[in-house]
Amino acid sequence: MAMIELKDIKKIYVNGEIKTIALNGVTLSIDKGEYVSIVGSSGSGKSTMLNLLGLIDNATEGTYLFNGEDITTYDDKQQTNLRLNKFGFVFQQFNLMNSVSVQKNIELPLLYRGIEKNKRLTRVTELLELLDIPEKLKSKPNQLSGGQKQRVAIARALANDPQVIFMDEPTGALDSKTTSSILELMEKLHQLGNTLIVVTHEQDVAHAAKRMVTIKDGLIQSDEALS
Amino acid sequence: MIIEYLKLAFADLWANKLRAFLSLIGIVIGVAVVYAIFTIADLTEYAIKSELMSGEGIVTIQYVEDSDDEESNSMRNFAALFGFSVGDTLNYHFNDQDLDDLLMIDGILATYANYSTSASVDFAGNNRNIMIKRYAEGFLDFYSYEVVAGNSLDKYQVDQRISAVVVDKIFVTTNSKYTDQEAIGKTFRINNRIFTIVGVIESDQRSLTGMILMDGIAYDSVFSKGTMTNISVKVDPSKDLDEVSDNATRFLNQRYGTLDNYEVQDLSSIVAQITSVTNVLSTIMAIIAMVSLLVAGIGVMNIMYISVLERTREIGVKRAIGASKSAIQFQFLVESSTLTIIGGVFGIIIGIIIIQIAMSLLDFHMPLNYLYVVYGIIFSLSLGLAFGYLPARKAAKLNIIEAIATE
Ligand SMILES: Nc1ncnc2c1ncn2[C@@H]1O[C@H](COP(=O)(O)OP(=O)(O)O)[C@@H](O)[C@H]1O
Ligand SMILES: [Mg+2]
Repeated sequence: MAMIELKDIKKIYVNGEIKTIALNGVTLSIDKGEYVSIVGSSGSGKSTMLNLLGLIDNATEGTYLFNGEDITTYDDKQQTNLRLNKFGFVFQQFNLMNSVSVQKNIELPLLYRGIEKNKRLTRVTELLELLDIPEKLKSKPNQLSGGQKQRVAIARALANDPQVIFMDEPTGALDSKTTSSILELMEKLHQLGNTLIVVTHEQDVAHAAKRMVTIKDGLIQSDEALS
Repeated sequence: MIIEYLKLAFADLWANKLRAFLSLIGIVIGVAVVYAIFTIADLTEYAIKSELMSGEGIVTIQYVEDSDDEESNSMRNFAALFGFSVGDTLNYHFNDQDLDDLLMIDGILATYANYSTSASVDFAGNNRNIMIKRYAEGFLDFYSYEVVAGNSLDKYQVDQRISAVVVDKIFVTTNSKYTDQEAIGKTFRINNRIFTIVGVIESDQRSLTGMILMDGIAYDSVFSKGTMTNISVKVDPSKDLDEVSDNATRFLNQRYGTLDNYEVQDLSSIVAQITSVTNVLSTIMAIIAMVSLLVAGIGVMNIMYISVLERTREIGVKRAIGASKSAIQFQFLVESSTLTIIGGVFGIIIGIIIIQIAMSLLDFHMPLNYLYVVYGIIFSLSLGLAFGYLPARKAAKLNIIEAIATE
């Protein structure tokens, strides 16, 4: 049984009179522990697909199975629970809270789960260790470089030990040197058994994954294993 | 967990100091006024309560001029509350014969002639108008008062009594910091004559600043001539109080050929008088409070809407990483109530200061009711929850994708 199964997913945006078909019948399955990149030109529907996978948006049509369970019909509470406990999300623009420390940023998902203070600190310390920025615990995000910010964002996504991590253009705001260090980190997470699904339009990032899904005009054009 | 939310809320309020401050002003005013209203209502009750205590089974008969003049009536009643008599002090409406004859009425156990006036007294650094009563033997027995420190005037020779006075506990506590025992031997001046306190009694006389008991000879010489203000009668507890007092007033009205000028001092009119004054006051203040709270509440709501708008993206991100709608709603409610509670605390402080100043101007002292402080905080909290509700709801309902896409 695949961890993630999309069956004939369609997403149509309606803005007044204008209808945009962002996904036009996508069928895809991803197993636990896979490291998949989703590529395609701008406007092809990559972000839309990742948002649907990450349950921060809902499909217009089709079925989404997670660990064999149909989650298409989940209500807001159930979706929130999945996002909190099973999913991790990393954004291109980091989206950290600049007014509070790195620690507080990473703690947020733990806080929403009601984890107590000492355990939160232990977990945050452990994550910063894993991401090679242990000294940044008390820093504010705006005191960090782009690469460090993305590490903090990844730490936040990992906080609740999710089953799958979704990343939308995680290196889109980084220079090439920082990009390769983030790619190394992603490889490390993959080796540790994490499931990674990464949206990118950069060839080197796409090829760092073990499987590459190419989208064009809302349809899967190719799906290939990488060596 | 709540602490964490509070910290976040504070951080955010601090970032919007000016706006937060402006809407706080209204809350401060509103809560201060509400606090004052409650205290004034209490003050009235407190005043009335001290007023109503005039001894079990004791009825006071007074003489009231024929008058349709409401104003002078209420003036007199109000003044009576503070131990003063206005208007009729120069008239002689009672004599010693009345005292004896009233005793003939069935059910009257004892009679007592009250002579009282008020004078400005310098004591322990305070200058106040104090009720002064002419003391006669039997006074303590008649009212069942007890000496709590020193002696009663009866224990002194006539020549010693001329400069000796007995005061009540209220006099000591409202005018000085002395204990009853310490008050003994202290002196004060009335009309340039020096008096020494020789005893302190426990009394329930209706007076807010206490009273001074002065020997008859001294009283008559200081106030030129004693005036019998009214007569108190002690009614047999087994008899009907109203019936006996009716008989007493009828007797006096017949004797003096008056229709109903002699009457039992009825405190309910005074109570009604004061209550109506404070009711008007309270209503006006309540309207001010409501308006300023409404304006402030809308201000808070406005701040919260702006706060939601400014942090739309942050809300979207939080939702994406697993924050529930109720967690978002809670966050904003914590923020709005933090704001109103800060306003409320300042309001209460200002309310207390105003009441303290008013009381010291009016020479009137009542202990603080700490329950109102708690009520005030609960009230501010509810205000924050009520006016923060809609913005918080809006934040919780934001579309996640759209929120994240916001710049
Ligand atoms: N909120 C939206 N409203 C209307 N159209 C949208 C919206 N989001 C995306 N689209 C459209 O859907 C298509 C796919 O967009 P997107 O998934 O963002 O592509 P990509 O991430 O591959 O660049 C585009 O044509 C885009 O204009
Ligand atoms: Mg995109």
